[in-house]
Amino acid sequence: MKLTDLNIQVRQRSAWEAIDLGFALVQQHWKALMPPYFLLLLLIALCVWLILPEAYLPIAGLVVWWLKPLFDRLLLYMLSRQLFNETPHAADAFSALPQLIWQTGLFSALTYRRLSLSRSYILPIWQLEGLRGKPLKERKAVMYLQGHSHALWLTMGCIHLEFIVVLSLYALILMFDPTGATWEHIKNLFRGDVDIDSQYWRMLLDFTFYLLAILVIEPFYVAAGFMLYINRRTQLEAWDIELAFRNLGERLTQLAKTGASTLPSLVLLLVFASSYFSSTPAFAQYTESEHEFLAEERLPPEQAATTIKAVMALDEFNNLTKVKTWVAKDKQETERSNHKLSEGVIQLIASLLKSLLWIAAVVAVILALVYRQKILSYLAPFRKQTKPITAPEILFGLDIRPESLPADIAGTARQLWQAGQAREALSLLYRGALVILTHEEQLAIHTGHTEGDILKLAKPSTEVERYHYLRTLTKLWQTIAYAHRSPAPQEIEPLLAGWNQFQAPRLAAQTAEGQA
Amino acid sequence: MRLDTTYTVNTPEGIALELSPAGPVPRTLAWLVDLMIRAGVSLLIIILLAFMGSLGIGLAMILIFLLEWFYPVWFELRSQGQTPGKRLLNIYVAHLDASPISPAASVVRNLLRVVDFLPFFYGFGLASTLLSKRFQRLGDLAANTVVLHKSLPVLSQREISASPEPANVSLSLPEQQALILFAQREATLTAERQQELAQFTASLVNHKTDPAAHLRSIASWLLGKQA
Repeated sequence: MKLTDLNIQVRQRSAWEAIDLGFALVQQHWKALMPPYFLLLLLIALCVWLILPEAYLPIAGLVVWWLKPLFDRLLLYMLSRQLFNETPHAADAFSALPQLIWQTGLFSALTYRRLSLSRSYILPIWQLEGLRGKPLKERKAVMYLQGHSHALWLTMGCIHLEFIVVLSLYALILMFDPTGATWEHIKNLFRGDVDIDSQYWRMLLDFTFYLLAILVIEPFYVAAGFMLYINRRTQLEAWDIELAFRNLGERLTQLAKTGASTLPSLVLLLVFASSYFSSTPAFAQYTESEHEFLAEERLPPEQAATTIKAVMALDEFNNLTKVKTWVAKDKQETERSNHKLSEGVIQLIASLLKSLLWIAAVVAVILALVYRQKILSYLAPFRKQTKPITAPEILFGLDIRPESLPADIAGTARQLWQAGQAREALSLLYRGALVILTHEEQLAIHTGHTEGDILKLAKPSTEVERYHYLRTLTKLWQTIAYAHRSPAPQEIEPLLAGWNQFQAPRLAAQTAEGQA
Repeated sequence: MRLDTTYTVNTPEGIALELSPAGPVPRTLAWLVDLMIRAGVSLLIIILLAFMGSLGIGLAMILIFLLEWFYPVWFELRSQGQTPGKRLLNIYVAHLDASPISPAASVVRNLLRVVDFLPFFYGFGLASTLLSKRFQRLGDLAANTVVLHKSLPVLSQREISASPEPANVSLSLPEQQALILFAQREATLTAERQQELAQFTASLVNHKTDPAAHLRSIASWLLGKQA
């Protein structure tokens, strides 16, 4: 572990800020954190759900809750490595699992320490420092001196956050469930009468919701506890000062060009009275035994009938439950409210509306046939409409209409060049190139563009060789147009010779047109 | 870039304010405290007004309605963005640039509690705070506000008693701050750790019998003490 590799800002924080830093840490790394954690949670949840006998399924959530310290260890493994810029793979986390199970005090965490309210704050001591026995006790005492109450409140806060997730999921279902079955289920949950057979799926729903809550909140809880721990260590050992002093020392050493000093290992010598928190779990299972009664001899029919009547009159068989559901409005009621209009008028209006609807339908069909082409064109795949580019006629004083150019540009330019009119020759070549760019290649050039702009615009759509040609041509043209410097013959010769090459796509297009 | 929860706002005067948004845990706890207070006051109102019969109950309902909706607005505007719960947790509401919250923003963020409350008990609000970088709930996003930690003047006032001694090299501002912090935290660090830390500064404490004491003297000198 090297402090300089830490990828969190080490500074003095209040404990609350440290908790928030933990939340930010999960926000930052959730993509790497979630896959192994999700897999482990899913596997364990599946095992619990399949192994538990059906009568005990309502406590499946409790079992997963009890196993939280195991998930915590996996999460801390991932988080502690991410803190030093390592990015462990999900596979690494799973291969570290045996070590996490056997060497991090998981047994005590799952038994007599399970109800500890500062679980995530103390976990790094067990798992990362690996302290046991007396050193562990002393370290815990030091850690608890400050930050213990924040760790407790963190746990309380996260319990609330879990409840919020579960309740919100229920409420979401309630909102979208008009049958009222969910509401009945929730009421039953509080009344405690859970019917195992019919409510299998509902229990699965409970279980899933609780798993989702754990899935979302637990990483934040572990990270926040971890950051509280880091914050306390920073306080105790002045990590922020160590980092600053290391930088300072490095700078001074660079200055003096002297050898680096050796770094003694960290020593912590704070020993205080120990006071730590643990409690034993206490939860008992309540089961109800059922007996079946059988009458020893048959009763005569009349007596049996009265007995049956008496039994049927009992509350158990007359259990009325109120269920709120959506039902269609009473038909009679609507008729009663319309009683002022006579039957005939209603019939008239109805038939009128009916015929109107039919007429409208027929008209719609006719219109659809008439305008079928317009409608079909809407169905055609949407094409991005681009403004038709109107090629400018004059660019920086050059006439670039195609009809202003001679048919054989290269030949004319050569003649001009040989006649000593270098400026005219280059101008002709450059205008020719601009005409190709604006008319054949539909480059979006407008009058405001400069030579350099055009070169930039042409770059993405032009092949490398043609682009080089255009660049040389532009450079020579700029030299002669603005600096009044004539190019050397060996500079202009490749341009004249390469013109047909440059023009090639245009010629190819023309020949293709001719063949068609 | 090292991870931190803070973000920086530059004032027109060229001062960089470091702001630290408060996350879901302190905010939930602050809300719970406020909830307790509101519940207590509501109960009191009902008990007192119940003697007036149904008129009293009607009045109580109106008062409780006002309490529920305007309790946060009242406190946020009256006491520097802090409801009693927030005061307890040392957090406060402010605009995103840390300027004091305006009445409009306060009303918007508190009316939108309805949305944050959906589907039940702040489910959407929680999702929003967990997802947003500055831990803002939907009402905060709409009103452009944020809940910030109040920074505490922890160490800045602590005296340094060492006799001043000039440093033999020029030090940059962060280095000077680190030295002063080191001297101010004398009481919270063990003597061994202090010596170890002092060794990290290498040539600054070369050939000194007590490096930590030497650094404290430099810190004292940096603070402008006269010998």
